[in-house]
Formats: sequence, structure tokens, C-alpha cells
Amino acid sequence: MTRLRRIVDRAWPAALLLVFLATFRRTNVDAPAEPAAAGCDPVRAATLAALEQCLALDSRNVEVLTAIGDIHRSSGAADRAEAMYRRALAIDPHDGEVRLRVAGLLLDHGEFERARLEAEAALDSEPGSRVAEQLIERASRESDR
Amino acid sequence: MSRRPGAIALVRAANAVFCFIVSVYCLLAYSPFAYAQFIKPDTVPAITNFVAVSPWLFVAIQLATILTIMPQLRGAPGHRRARPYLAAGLAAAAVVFLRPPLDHVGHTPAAFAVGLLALVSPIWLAAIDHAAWPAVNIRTADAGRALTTCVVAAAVVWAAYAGAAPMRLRQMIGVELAPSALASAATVSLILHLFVFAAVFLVIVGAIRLSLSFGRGSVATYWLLVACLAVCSAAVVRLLICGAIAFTGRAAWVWSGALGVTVAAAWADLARLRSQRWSDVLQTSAPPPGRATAPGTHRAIDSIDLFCAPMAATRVVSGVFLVAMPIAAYALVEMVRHLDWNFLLQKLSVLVIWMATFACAGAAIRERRRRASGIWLAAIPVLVFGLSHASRLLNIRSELDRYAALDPSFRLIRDAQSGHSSATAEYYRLLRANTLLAPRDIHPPDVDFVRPLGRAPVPPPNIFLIVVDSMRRDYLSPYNAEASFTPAIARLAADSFVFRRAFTRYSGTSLAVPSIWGGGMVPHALEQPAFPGRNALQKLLDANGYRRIMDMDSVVEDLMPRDARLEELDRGKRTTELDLCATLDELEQTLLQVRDQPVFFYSLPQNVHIAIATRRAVPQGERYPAPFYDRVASSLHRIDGCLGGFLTFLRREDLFDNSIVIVTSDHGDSLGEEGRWGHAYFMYPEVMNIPLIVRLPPWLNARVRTDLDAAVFSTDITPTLYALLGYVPQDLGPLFGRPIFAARNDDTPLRRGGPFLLASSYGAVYGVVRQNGRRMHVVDAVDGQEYAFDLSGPPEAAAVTPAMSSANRRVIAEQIAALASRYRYHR
Repeated sequence: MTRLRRIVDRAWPAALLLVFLATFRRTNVDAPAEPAAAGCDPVRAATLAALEQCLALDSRNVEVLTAIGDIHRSSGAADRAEAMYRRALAIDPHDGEVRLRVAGLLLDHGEFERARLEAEAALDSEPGSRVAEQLIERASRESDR
Repeated sequence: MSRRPGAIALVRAANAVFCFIVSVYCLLAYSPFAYAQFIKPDTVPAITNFVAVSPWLFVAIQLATILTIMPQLRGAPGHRRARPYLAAGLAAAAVVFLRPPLDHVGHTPAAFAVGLLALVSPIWLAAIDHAAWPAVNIRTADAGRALTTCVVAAAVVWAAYAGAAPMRLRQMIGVELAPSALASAATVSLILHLFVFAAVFLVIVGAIRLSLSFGRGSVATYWLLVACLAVCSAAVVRLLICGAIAFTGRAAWVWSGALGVTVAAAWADLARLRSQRWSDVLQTSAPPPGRATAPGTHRAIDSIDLFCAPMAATRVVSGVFLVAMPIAAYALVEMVRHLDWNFLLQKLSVLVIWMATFACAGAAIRERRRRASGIWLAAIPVLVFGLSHASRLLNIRSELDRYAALDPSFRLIRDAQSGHSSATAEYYRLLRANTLLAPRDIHPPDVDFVRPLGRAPVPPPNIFLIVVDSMRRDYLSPYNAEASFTPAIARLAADSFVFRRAFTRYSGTSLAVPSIWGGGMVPHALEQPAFPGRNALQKLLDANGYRRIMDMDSVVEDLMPRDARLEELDRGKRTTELDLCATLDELEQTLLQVRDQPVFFYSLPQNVHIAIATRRAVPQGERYPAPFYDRVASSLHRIDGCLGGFLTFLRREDLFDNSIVIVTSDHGDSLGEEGRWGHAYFMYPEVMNIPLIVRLPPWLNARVRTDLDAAVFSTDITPTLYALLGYVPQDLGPLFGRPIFAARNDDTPLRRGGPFLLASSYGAVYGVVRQNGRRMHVVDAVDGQEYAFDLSGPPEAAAVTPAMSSANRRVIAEQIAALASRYRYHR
């Protein structure tokens, strides 16, 4: 008993030190990747469902918002498309690509003055853009009628 | 003994410090990375100054040392070690004066050898002094007093840094912490400090208990503590210093081990010398100063007292030092933070404060009459252990991250704590294997955007490419309305294309500059092999008969020849002396003489580099509001005026309307954000986002279109110049640049969807830019961290999810593999 006590008496600091050192570092366990995450490239995630899944993971993804807007627009849901584009512009007001899309939608709705303003803003972001210049010209022409 | 051991200890300390500095200098010279970063470009003038005076310092210290060993040279104990030391010292002095080694070691294996040889002297002197001076009687240390010392030291160190945290919080850019969060984080910091010092206590008490197994246990305790110092010093040197300067491999372990042994030897030497004052006291039966007298023990000193002797003072003085410790801690951090490298100097200053606090606390605390029981001794560490694990349950990770920016001592512990899984360790190994490659391992093919490359279909305009080292974009008026101190750049921008999402590919000059000239990412090596074949910009200039009027800074001088087409500016100046104002003055004179051929101008002015700007005082009357760092803002204001003057010159000389003017930077800089200064391994938005302002001649302006919101890179500059001169540069893939302008009648989208690789120039830190430059994800294998940013608006930190981490790690690995394949190296 005395011998055991002597061993414990001498060994406890080293044992405790080992426990200290062994538990000092904090290791983050790598979690497996969520399958949806890898497909959040708008080019790859071409379907609306896939894009909406991406948006659920990253609600500030301008490219995904724009791609969803494009799908709505091609299916004739102009209001939904504009809502998506507006969300994208709320995140990045300078994005000329999105402004061009909004200008196109407004032009289709007959809102020529607003369309012209959007196209001019797009031209500021994309100097020399023929698309923007054509939209401005068309909006001005329609507005003059 | 009639000699004064205190004075001898001072000489020994001076000798040890000198030898350590020489050894560290040699290490910096030997490490390819540190040589290229610090020594070759003369980034830190103090290093050059030290090399210049080192022979004289060496002789002065050796003379003083010889005086201290005169009795031994005359035959006193220790003469067998002292006489060879004298001979070796004289031989070394002769060598130092005939051929000063620090002037000549350069970046060679000799630097490593000299670095190791420099460490011999302190070890040798320790051996002499241990033979010459008698050992004092040592008694077993009181573990209870050691415990109290550790607890007090932990509390004082914590208070020294936590006390300054509210003040730093007010000054710090980008850190917001509510008072309650600050208090919670400070509490966790206290627990972690107690944890670290409890571990120190366990080492001490472990040494005491282990030494009981030997005869003369108290002596064994002392030497075990000295051995622990050697191991800890070697570990700190290897993990902290060598890690920070990318010095790895067996050589790093050898040097760290040698330095650890030398630190321990010098420490033991000082302990032996300083303990002599107690030896005299003990001989007259008085107790050691400031010590209680336990019956029968006052003829010996405590082994911990002996270990702390190099830094110990009387109780009152130690108490005063303890009270003054917060001031010393604050002052040390303030001294080094602007020129710090990845927080290395701040962390080393923290370690100095830890040691000093421990020594002072040990000297200030009296020995107890009753020795503490083993249960009590174990209870405190167990309690601290429990508290530290309980604190992990608090979900305040982001608060702790922000608090680490305010408290360098907490940062040191927190960084030491960060561990990673085996998969992450494997991934970091992959990154490290592809970083700082040896040039002999790379066999790069030529890079050609156009082949064969004939003359351009349009008359080549003049090109002025001004790459201001470390210039941040938010310090320029076109990018930040509050930066009102760059009016000339604002005027230029009004007539130019200002790209909002411009990035550098590399967060350091040594790779950023080759990537601009090459028009793409380059092998991760400090020396670029066969670069002329990859120098796409020079090929373009040569094909069109451009006169290159440029600075040959320490980076470009390795990239291109000094041939007949070169008109070198700022001849004889060191890179750190490159001043845009002086360069533009010289350029104006040169331009007046060169009218018969197109001109290409390139400069890498250093005016706003942190190492240069901090040396320049802000002129009286200039004021720069927070968060602008006034010295950088003032330097920028000065070069803005010079640039404005130069643009006026171009207009006056009818050169402006036939000139492409590009103002950009090789990378940005951290200027106090969350405590960061400089760029080192940092891949944060303020470092990776760069300004890119391109002014085209009106005739070119009318032909092109662009997208100012598209993600563009500094590697796009060269292919853009090809396109502006009428070539059609081929798309070489995502690792290379591509034109940021298109012809008006070309409807090809200017945006690129893919993720883009970014890298640190100096270590295994890689990043990915995605979503048209709106997201940046960084994997830092140097500090073992991963972080992300949302760059849609003002940069914001984003949470790193496992999904993001996995996807971005894969992209980085794929693009690194593509780079290896492109440049033909396999790791």
C-alpha cells in the first residue's frame, strides 16, 4: 500500500500533465459535404428545383437569383422574374447584367421610361454595351411614340 | 570571489543576445523565402545596419568576455576550457575582420553553418562558468509556492492583456464586441491562461517528484527544469519562428534544437552567475533575500529560485515589476505590431512577458511554513481543467475570434489550440507540397497568348503601367468617396474604366509581379525558372518595338534581361527606395528624348508599403480621419500629386491621347483590420482586392466595351494589352488571364463563371474566388484556419460550412493540380 501510494504520489503530476496536453488542442471533425452544395453553380444546376435548393443554402447568391429569374421569364412568369432580379440588385446594385434583364422586362411591360433608366444604369456598368445602347434607343423611341 | 558576478552576467547576456541575432540573421539568409522577402529587398533597414556594425560589436563583446575570464586564463578553475576559448575567439575575430561572414554568407549553405557556429560561444562560456564558479546549495522546491506562483502569474498575464482590450477595441478597425461579449471572452481567456500556467505547474511539480528518484533530488529538479527550457525553446522556435518564415524540414529541426540547447545553456550560465550573490549570503548563514526561513533550510536556495535567478529581483522590485507588467505588455505590442509578420513578433513578446511575470511572481511570493498536501496541489489543476472544458460549452466562438484580435496573449493560446483532423492534415500536406517549390523541380514550357507573334495590326500606343506596391483600393477616391486625398487619381478615373471587382492572384509581390508580366498564375517558387519564355508582356513589347523605360526592382531584375531596349530608371537605388515622384521626374526627362518609338513604362513604387510609409512622418497640417492610417494616406496623397503632375505633362506633350495608362497594385495591405498589419500570409479582402483603373486613348475607347462589375484579375492586364493592340489572345484556361475589354461588335460574354484560384506568395495559403468575385474562401495551412467572405457589398466574414469547405478545397486541389500539370512538376 505504501509503495502504491509512493508511485501515485510521484506519478500524478506527469499523468495530469499528459491529460492536459492531450486535451489542449481543439480538433474540428470534418463533416461530409452536402451533395447539393457542389451543384450550386448556376450553369450546372439548370433546373428550377436545383437552383432553389442552392438559394436555400446561399440566399445572397446573385448568379442563382438571376438564373431563377431567367427561368421564370422564359416560362412567362414576368412578375416572379422581376422579383428575383430585384433581389439580386438589392445585393449588388451595380450589376449591369441584371439591370439589362430588368430593362428588357420593363420594356415588354411598356414601362419605357423606367426601362430606359435601367438600361442607362446598365450602360454605366458595362460601357460600350451594344445591348444596353439598343435598349436605351428602343425605350426612348417607344417613349416618344 | 572578489570579482563581480553580476557584471559578468551582463556581459554573458550581451554575448548571448548578439550570438542569437547573428544566428537568426544567418537563418533568414539561408531560408529562400526569408532571403527573398526580407534581406534581398532590404525591407528592414535595421538588418542591414546590424550586418554593417556586426564586426565591431563582435570584437567589443569578445574583448569584454575575455576580461571576464582573465582569472581562468591565468590558471584558476576552468582554465582548460577558457584558454581554447581565447584561441578560438581570436581566430574568429581575425576572420570577422578579414572577411566579415555576414556580408558574404548570402543565400548559401554557409549561412546555415555560420548560424550554428554562432551558437557555440554561449554554450562554451556556460561550460567555463560552471567550472569557474561554485554551485550553490539547492534545496527541494516547495510545490505549494510553485502553485501560487503559477496562479498569480496567470492572473497577472491575463490582466495585463485583458485590461488593454477595451482600449484596443476602441482603436481596432473591423472588430465590434458588446460589453457582455467582451466580458465573456475575457473570462474564457482567464480560464485558458490558468490552464496554461497550471500545465507549467504540473511540469515543475512533475520535475520535483521525478527528481526524488535520483540522489541529490533538488539538483536534479533544477536540471530537469533547464532541460524543459531547452525543449520548450526548441519547440517555440520550430513551430513559431520557423513556421512563420516557411523554414521547414530537417534543417529547421536541427537549427531549432541547437537554439533551444543554447538558450538553456545561456540561461543556466546566468543562473549560476547570479546565484553567487546568494552563495555569499548563504555562507554567512543568512537566508536568501526575501525568503522565509524554514528550520534547517536557509543554507540552500530553492531549485525554482535558482532557475528563475536570471530574471529574479528582490521581493519589492519584483512586486513593482508585476504591477508594471501591463504597461510593458502594451508597449511591446505597440512597438512591433506595425512591422509584425503574421503576429510572430507579438507572440514572441507575449512569451517574454509570460517568463518575466513568472520570474517576478516567484520572487515576490513567500514560501509557506506548512507544505501543501498532494490533494490540494492536484485539486487546483483539476479544477482549472474542468473549467476549461466547461468553457468550451459556451457557444461564443465568433466572439472569441474577435477577442483574439484584442488580446495577443489569448491569440497565442488560441492559435496553439487549433488542431485538425487527419483528412485536413493530409490536405494541408498537399498544399505545402505545392508551395515554395525548388526551381530545379519545375520545367515550365513557354506561354504564348499569340503564336506566331508578329507586329500589331494597329499603331502601338504608349503604355504606362504603374503598380503601386501594397496600395489598397479603399484608399482611392474612385473606390471610396471618403478617401478625398487622391484628387488626381479621381480625375483620371473620371476619364477611365474603374473595375470594381479586381483581384490580385497573389497576396505578395514576389509572385504577384511575375503573374502580371506572365499573364497568368506561375509556379509557386521564389525564383521563376525559364521566365523569359513565359514573359508574355515582354514578348508583346519586343514584337512591337517598344522602348522599356522602367525600374529594375528586386523582383523584375530576376525576370528579364537588361537588354538594349531597356532604359533603366532609378539606377543604383534599392527597391525600398523606389519613390514614384522621383521616378516620374526621371521618366519625364527620358520621354522628352524618346519620341521615335512607342514607350512602355513600368514601376513598382514603394511609397505606401507598410515598411516604408511607417518611417515617413505625416506633414504638419495634414489630417486623415479614421479608419485611414494616416502615414499610408499621407504617402498616397503625396504620390497622387506627383501622378497628377505627370498626367499634366503627358497632356502638355501631346502624349496623353495616344497612351494607355493603368494604375493598379500588386496586392493590398492590412492596416489594422482586426489587428492585422501588412500582408504576410494574409488573404483577406483588403489584401486581395486591388484597384484597377485603365485609361484608354480616345480612338481605342470608341472601339471597345467592358463590364466594370465583372471579376477581373491582375493576370488579365497582359492579355488585355494584347487585345487592345488588335491581337486575338487565345484562352489559356482559368489559371491565366484574358482580355477585360471586347470589341463593340463582339457579343461574347465578358464574365467568367468559374472559380478562380488565389494564393499567398509566401506560404501554403490558398483561396478561391467564386460567384463573379462575390465570394472568397481561404484555406490557411500555415495557421490551420479556414475562412470565407461575402464580397457582394462591403466585405463581411461568412460562416464556413462543411459543404463550402469541401467544395472549395476540391477546387483548390484541382487547380493546383492543373498548375502542376501546366508547369510540369509533380509533388
